[in-house]
Amino acid sequence: MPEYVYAIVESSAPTPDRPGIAGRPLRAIRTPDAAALVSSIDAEELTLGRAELLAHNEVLQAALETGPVLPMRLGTVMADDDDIRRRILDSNAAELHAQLTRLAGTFEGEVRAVYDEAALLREAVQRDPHIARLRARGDLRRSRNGYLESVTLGEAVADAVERIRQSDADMLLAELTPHCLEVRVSPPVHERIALRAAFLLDRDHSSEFDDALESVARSQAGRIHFRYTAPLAPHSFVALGGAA
Amino acid sequence: MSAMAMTRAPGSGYVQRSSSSGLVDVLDVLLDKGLVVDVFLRVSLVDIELLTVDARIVIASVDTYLRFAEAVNRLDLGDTSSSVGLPELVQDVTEDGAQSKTKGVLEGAKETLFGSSKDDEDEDDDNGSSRSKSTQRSGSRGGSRQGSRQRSSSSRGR
Repeated sequence: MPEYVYAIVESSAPTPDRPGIAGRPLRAIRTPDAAALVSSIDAEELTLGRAELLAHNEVLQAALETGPVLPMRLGTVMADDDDIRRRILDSNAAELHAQLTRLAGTFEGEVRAVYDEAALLREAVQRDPHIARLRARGDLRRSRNGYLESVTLGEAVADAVERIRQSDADMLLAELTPHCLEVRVSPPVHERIALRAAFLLDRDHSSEFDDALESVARSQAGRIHFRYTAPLAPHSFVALGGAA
Repeated sequence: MSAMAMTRAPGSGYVQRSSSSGLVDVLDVLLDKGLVVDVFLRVSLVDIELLTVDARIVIASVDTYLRFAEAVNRLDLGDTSSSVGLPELVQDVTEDGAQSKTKGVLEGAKETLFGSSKDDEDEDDDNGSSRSKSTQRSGSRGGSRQGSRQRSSSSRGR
């Protein structure tokens, strides 16, 4: 029977008391170096919708409560227990064990810093006289030549926004990285993202990161909104064989 | 053990903290991170894979320029409250952007996949009854999605 694989945990870690995808019981396949959390699925084809993603996430969260968790990529399905032993647990035994050791006592926190758009645009206009000039010109003859002027103006704004973003991202990372173990910055997914980054945090010192985040958020109040999601399994800090 | 990070005090309110159980908040993380085994059966993730491709939007596009230009032209530089004369921008101020007009493609796709409301999000935590319904919803956006449903199916035996 095909098995859905959620995560790799320590060999002796308890199996979380949660149902797996489609309500199937969660099991652990154990080897001396690590264990795989799995549940059976009916077919190799499975569409992951909201319920499946929630089940996947809940298993990871529950496992994270009792020890280190190496999350598998969403949607990992293997043929059977033997396949999982052979191709995940045995062939990567040393590396899995090393990562479990390295990530013990840590969790991932996701920070999303998003601009207030009005504040961001106002800043772009005020910082860059060129934009102000283009804007003034656009005001005079808005009805004619509108398209080209708009593109020129918009491009200048986009450039200014990018410069502002770059400097803010640098500033935020400078404030926050001293309080984390590792950081992974993700590319912005829309224009108002100032920074999107995952921080690997030491459980015993995570309050220091909290304080730093709170403090920088206070200093940016009204300009940048901060959203912080934690604790997460260290999704952004696991890889096998050096692959990202 | 488990409680410590989760029951953290909500701070002084400058940071919007969210638990890790809300799907919208963890979606970015779940989608394309985690351990990859070189050859494995991959379930049919159609909607989600398209979504991650969609998410890599090009910020330097003419559409973005035009939108910026319009927004900047509307901008009232004397207005520090940002609430007068900026009908479109005002919505953006509200929060993260999930509801705003200028949301990125990823947020838009999230809405398609999961429904937009944050209230909805809160209901999920203890609610198993929405399962079948939501699975259908995830596959319901347009013919092209349906058409690519098989694309990422099994790679076993390669």
